[in-house]
Amino acid sequence: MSSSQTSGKIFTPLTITLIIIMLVIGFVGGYYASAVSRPSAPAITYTYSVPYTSVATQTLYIERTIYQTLLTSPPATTPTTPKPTTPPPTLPSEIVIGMAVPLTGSQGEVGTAGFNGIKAAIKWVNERYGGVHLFGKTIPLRLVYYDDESSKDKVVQYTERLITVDKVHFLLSSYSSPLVFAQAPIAEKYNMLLINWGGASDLIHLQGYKMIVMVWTPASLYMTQAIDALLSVKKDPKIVLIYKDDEFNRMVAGGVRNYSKKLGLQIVYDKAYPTDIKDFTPYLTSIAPLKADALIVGSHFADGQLLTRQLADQEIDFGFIAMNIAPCYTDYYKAFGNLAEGIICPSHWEVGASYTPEIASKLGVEWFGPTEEEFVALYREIVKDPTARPPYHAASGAAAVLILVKAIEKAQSLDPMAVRKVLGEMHLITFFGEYKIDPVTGIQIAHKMILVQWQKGNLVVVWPPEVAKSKLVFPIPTWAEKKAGKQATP
Amino acid sequence: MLSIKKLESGYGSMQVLWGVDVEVGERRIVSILGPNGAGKTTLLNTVMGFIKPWSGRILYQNIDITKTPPHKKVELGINIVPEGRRLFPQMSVRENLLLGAYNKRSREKIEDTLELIYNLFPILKERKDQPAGTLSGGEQQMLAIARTLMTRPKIMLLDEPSQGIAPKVVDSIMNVLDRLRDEEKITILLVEQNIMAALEHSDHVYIMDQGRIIVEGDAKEIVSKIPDYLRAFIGL
Amino acid sequence: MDPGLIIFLFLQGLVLGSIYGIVAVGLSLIFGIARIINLSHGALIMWGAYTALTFFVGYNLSPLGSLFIAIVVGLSLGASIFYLVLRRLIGAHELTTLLATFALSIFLEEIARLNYGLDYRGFSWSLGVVKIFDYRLTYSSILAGVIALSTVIILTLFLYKTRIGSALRGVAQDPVGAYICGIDVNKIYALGIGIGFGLAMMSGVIITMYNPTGINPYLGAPYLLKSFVIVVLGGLGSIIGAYVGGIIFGLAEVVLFPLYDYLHFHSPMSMTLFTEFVILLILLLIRPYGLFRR
Repeated sequence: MSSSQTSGKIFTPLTITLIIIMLVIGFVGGYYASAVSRPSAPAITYTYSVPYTSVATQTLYIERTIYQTLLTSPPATTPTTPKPTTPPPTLPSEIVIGMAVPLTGSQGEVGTAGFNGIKAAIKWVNERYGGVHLFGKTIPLRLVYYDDESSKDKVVQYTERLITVDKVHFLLSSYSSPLVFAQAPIAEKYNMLLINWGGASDLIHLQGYKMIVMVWTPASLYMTQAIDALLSVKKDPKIVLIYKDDEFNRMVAGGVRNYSKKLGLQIVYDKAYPTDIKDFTPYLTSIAPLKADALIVGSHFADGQLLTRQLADQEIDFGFIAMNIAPCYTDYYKAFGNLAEGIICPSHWEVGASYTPEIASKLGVEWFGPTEEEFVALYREIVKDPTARPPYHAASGAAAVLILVKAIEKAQSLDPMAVRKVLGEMHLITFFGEYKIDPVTGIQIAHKMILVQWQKGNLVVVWPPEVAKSKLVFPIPTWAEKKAGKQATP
Repeated sequence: MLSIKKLESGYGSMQVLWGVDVEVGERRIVSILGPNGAGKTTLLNTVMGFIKPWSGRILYQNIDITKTPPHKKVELGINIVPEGRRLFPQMSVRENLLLGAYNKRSREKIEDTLELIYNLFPILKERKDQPAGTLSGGEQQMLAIARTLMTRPKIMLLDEPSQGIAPKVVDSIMNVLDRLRDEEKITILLVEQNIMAALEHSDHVYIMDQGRIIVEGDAKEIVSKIPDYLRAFIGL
Repeated sequence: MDPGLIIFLFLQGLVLGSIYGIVAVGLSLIFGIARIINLSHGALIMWGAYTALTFFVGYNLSPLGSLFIAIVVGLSLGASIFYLVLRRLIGAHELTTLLATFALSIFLEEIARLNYGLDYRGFSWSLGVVKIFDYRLTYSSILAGVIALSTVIILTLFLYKTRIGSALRGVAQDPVGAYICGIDVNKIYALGIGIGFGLAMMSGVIITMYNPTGINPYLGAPYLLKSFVIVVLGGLGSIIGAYVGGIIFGLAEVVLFPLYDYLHFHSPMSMTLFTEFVILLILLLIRPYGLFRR
C-alpha cells in the first residue's frame, strides 16, 4: 500500500497539496466547461443567410452560430469544376452507388431500415423512372454495399474499399453521426461525393470537407420548428430547456438557444443533465416554481422516458412539451398510456406527412421522385411485409438516392465535382420534403422537421401547417387531468 | 488407520511426490521429518484432497478415500491443522470454534468438545470474544488445533505446529498432542522441522527428502539410520 | 431556501441511495465470497427489470411479485453458472474471471436483445404519491427504498446469525479454513454467487419500482459502473459498506444539486457526480480499503 499508510500519516503536505490541486482543477474545469456551453459565453459567429420560404409565407434567416471551440478548420471553398460539355466516349452500362451501412451491431436496426429505403428508391429509379437520364440514354443504378457492423474501423475500411476496389461512382453515407464522421475524411481524400442521409451532427460538416452533402435536418435545427409551433399558439412564451449532455443534444440545445435569442424569446431555465441520469427530481424541484409555458427537452430514449415519468409523478405542468426521440416511438405510449397525451416529438418524416407534387408546385419548387404511396408500396415489397411502416430513416435514405439522381441529370456528368456543384445550387422537393444545402458546408437548410403530437392514442402530424393532419393541441391537459383520463383533443 | 500407497502428485506440471508410502497405526503419533522442500506439506495437502493425487491410493480404515473431497474427509474423521493455520481472522475465537462444528456429527457433541478444548487450552476461553486475527502466534496455533478438534477427527494431520512459536509454547502444544492420543484416542500424523520436539513425542518416524521417503523407523532408533548428508539439513 | 424542499430532497436522496445501495450489494457480496468481479452484474440488473416488465405486462403481476421470481431465477442462474463455468476459475487470475463474467454479460444482453428487441420499454405501475410540503414522492419509490433496506438487513442477519451465513463468511475469509471445518466450499460458492445474482436481478426489479421506464437490453451498464464506485467506497466485499456507500451517493446527488444549481453551473448534476468522485478519492486516502473493510 501507499507510503502514507505505512507511516500512519495520511495528510502529509504532499497529499494535501494533491487534493487541493485536484479540487481546484475540478471546480475551475467544471465551471469553465459550463461557461463554454453557456449562451452568454464569448463566441465568434459567422453567419450565412439563406432566404427560404415556407408555406407560412414568412422568410426566415437561419443563423448558425459556431463557437470558437468548434472551429477546427477554415470554411471550405465551393469546389470549382470544369464544365462538362461533351459526352464521354463511353458511358458506363450502370451507375454504381456504394455504401457501407450498419446492418448489424448497435445501429443495426435503424441502419437496416435506411438501407431498405435506399433499395426502394433505387427500385423506383430503375423500374418506374426508367433509369438515370444521361446524354439521351437511360442508365440503371446499381448498389454495392457492405455491412459495417456499426464499427468505426469497418466503416473506414469499407469506404476505402468501395472507392479504390469497387470503383463506385458515388457514395451514400453510413448511419449515425459517429460512423459518418469516421468515413467522411476517406471520401474527401478521394474527392468522392458522399451523400449524408444518416448523420445529423452539424460537426460532420464543419470540418472543412467539400464533398459531403446532407439530406436531412441537422441537429441544430431539430427544435426550431417546435419554437415556431409554440409561437403560433402562445405569445412571448417562457421556455424551459433541459438537454442531455451529449454531442447531439448540445447541438440541439444550441440551436434552440440561438433561435430564441434571434426571436427575442425568454429561456428561463437552461441546464444540461448527464448521459446516465437516474433521477430528474432535483431538476424538477428547480423548474417547478418557474411556472413556465413550454418545456423543450433534448433527450434520447431512456432519459426521455424517465423525465416523463417523474414529471407526471411530480405533476409539473406545461402547456407545451416537446421532447426529442423518446416520444416518437410507440413504446412511449405503451409505457405511459394516457400520460403520453399531448407530448410533442420532432421527426424528420412520418408516413402521412409527406410532401406532394401539389405542395411543390404551390411553393414553386421542382418535384422529383415517387409519391408517398409509391414509396411505401416499394418499401413493403422490399421488406416483404405488406403492413410495414417505413420509419423516417428509410425515407431519408430514399431521399438521398433521389437527390443524387436529380443532381446527376442536372449536371449531365458522372464527375463527382460537377455533381457536387449542382447539389450546392439545387432546390428540390421529394416526398421526404425540401432539399437545399448551404453550398459551402453541405449542411441541409431547407428540410423541415415535422412535429408529431400524441393525440387520442395516436401520433398525429401537427406541424408544419402544409403537411399537418391535425391542429396542435395547446395547452395540453395537465398531468392530473391525464391521470383522470383526459386526452389531448384538438 | 491411514495408509498412503505409492502416492504421486505435484503442482501444475511439476511433480513433487514420487511414490510415497506411509502407514499410520491407530492411536499413534507418527512424524514425517525432512528438510525444506522435501514435499512434506504437499503430502499432507494431497492426503486431505487440497491437491489432486496423480496416482497411488489413500486408504482410511480400509476405505479408499483417494478421490474424496476434503469436506467429506472431515466428516469421515480425518482432518488437518494446516500450514499457516487458515483461521477466519475477522471472526471471534468462539465463532471460529463454532464454525468448526459445522457438520452434523460434530454439532451433536458441540458442548463436550468445547469443554475439552477450554480444558486443553484455557487461554482460548479467556480470549473467546476476541477476533482471531488479533491473537498471538502461539494462541493462533492453539485455536487452529482447537478448531480442527471441533470437527471430532479420528486422525489429525498437523503441518508444522511449532513454526514461529516460542519454545515454551511448543512444549505445551506437544504435550497436548500426547494427551489427545492417550485421552481422546486421536491418531496423529505430524510434519515437523523441530526435530527434537518431534522425536521426543513420536511413536514412529519417517524421513523424507526430494519427494521420497528415505528411511523410517521407531523414534528411538531412527537417529542412527539417518544418512549423513541429511543430518545437517534436519538439524542433527 | 425553502425548508420543505430540503426535507423533501433529503428523503428523496435516502430513497435513491437505498436503491443504489441494493444495486451494489450483489456485486460486493460475490467479490467478498469468491473474489470474482462480476461484470455480468449489469446484465442481471437488466434481466431483473425485464422480469418486472414481462410479468406486469403479461400477467398483470405487480413488481412486488416479480421480486420473488427474480430472486429465485437469479439464485438458480448463479448456482448453475458457478457449476458450469466459474467453479474451474476459483483462485484463477482475476483477469480470467473478469473475462468469463464479461462473456456472460454479453451473452445475457444479446439474449435479451433477441427476445425483446432494442426498444425502450416501460410500464405504468402507480401506488399514488405522498405529499411532502409542496413536493411529491411516489409510494412505489418509497416502497423500493424500504424493500432495499429490509433486504440488506435480512441479508446481514442471515450472514451473521445463521450457520449457513457463518459458512459463507468463513469461505470468504479463508476457503481452506472452511474446508477444514467440513464445509462443502463449492456448495457455498454456488450459494454465494446465487445470492449475488439473485440480489442483482432483484435490484433490477427494485429499479423498475422507482422508475418503470427506459427498459432496454443495455440498461445495466451505467448501474454496473455506479456499483463499482460505490463498492470501492464502501470497501470491497462489505455488504454494509456497499449499502452505506449507496446512501452517501444518493444523498450527495440530490442534496448537492441545489447548491450547484444556485451557483449557476451549467450541468449541475455532472458537478454533483464530480463531487462524488472527490469524496471517494479523499476517503480512499484516509481509508485505502474503503469505509467498512478491515
